[in-house]
Amino acid sequence: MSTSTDRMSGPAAVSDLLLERFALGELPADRLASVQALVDADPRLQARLRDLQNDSRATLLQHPPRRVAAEVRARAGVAAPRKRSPLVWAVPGLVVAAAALLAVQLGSPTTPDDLAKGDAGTVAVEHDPELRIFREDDGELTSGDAVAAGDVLGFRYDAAGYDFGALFSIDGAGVVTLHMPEAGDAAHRLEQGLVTLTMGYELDDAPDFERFFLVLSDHPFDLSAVLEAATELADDAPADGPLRVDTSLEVVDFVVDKDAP
Amino acid sequence: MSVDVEALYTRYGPMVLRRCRRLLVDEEQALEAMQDTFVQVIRYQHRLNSEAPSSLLYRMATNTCLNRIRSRKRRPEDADTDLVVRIAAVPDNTGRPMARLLLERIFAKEQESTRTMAVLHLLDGMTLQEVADEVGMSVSGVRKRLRTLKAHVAELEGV
Repeated sequence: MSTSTDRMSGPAAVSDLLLERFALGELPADRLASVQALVDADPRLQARLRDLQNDSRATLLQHPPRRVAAEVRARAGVAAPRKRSPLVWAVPGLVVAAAALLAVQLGSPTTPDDLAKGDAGTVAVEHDPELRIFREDDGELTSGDAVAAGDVLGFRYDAAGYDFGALFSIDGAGVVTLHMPEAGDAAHRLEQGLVTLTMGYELDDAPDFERFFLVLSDHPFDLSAVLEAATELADDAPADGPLRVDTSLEVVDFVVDKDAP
Repeated sequence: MSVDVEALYTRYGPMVLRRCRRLLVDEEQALEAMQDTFVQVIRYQHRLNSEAPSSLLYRMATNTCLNRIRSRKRRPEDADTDLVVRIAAVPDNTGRPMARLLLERIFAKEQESTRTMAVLHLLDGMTLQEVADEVGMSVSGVRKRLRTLKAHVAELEGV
């Protein structure tokens, strides 16, 4: 167990609670500014924030919200709420906002992939980007695996040096659902390494399949144009047709079969 | 207000679990204490009125862990744990059940548990001013309460 001395030494004395509130975006404006200044100036605080974010992701992955909530409700002796929309445990907007803020503040953690970037800002990709999908309480899926309505899926990606991206899916009913970012017209700033998203996606009863697309670029791109291409694909040949986006974009797709035995 | 425990856990669960791990060390105990904290939120949700509940949940988790430590009477494993055990062993100043007392204090903005304040100050390293801001008391009030608790600790140790 680390001691308070470890956490509170030096000029950047920020308690665990203060750091938690900062990460959650729940500090008043004046306090937020002072902590922000400390974080900007102190690599140790930046490291603590990164650890905190990684730990949060790991916790939500290891102890999924739906399962924990059910156990808590059972212990409290209360009934489950009515079923909600397909995005059952997407992280509330404030958390995403705070995470985005931290990502901007901290930049991406240094990884071998960072070293692969050239001086001119181009990306020397040494391996292909990956989209990994796993099922709650089950394990990692392979593209083409069978799933069912009600299954909750989680996502990991390896951006392989690309800095911007988006994740969305098209289902058998032709509905396009954006998963990352949650909203907006701008591509998401990606982290490097194998990154687990702090959200889950519960499959609804749309038929046949759900096809996921991870679109990546080394530059910011117009997400609305990509989603427009997704909509066209959904209207045309969503099961196996190509996603017609700018050729500068890298596309990784992953399909799960909802009708397979 | 109605508590959406799933959303609340998604947002605050990792923080609560980190807090419980720090105080209890044992992973299984920490997970149970984390769930206990959210169970209390459900049971007393009609009194939950905070717009930024991170601080409230953090203190609830702290007190939940102190109660667990107090009940298990475990042997200290290191300096931090030893401090927590000694704080947890201090009797609070009322005969009401601890959980109910905690919730009454937090939700109704009554006096914070002295033991929780002690953990925030002595273990977490928060200044008296930070603790006072956190629990809505004056610095002198916090200092007085901690002085009383320290006397209890010394009494328990036979100092």
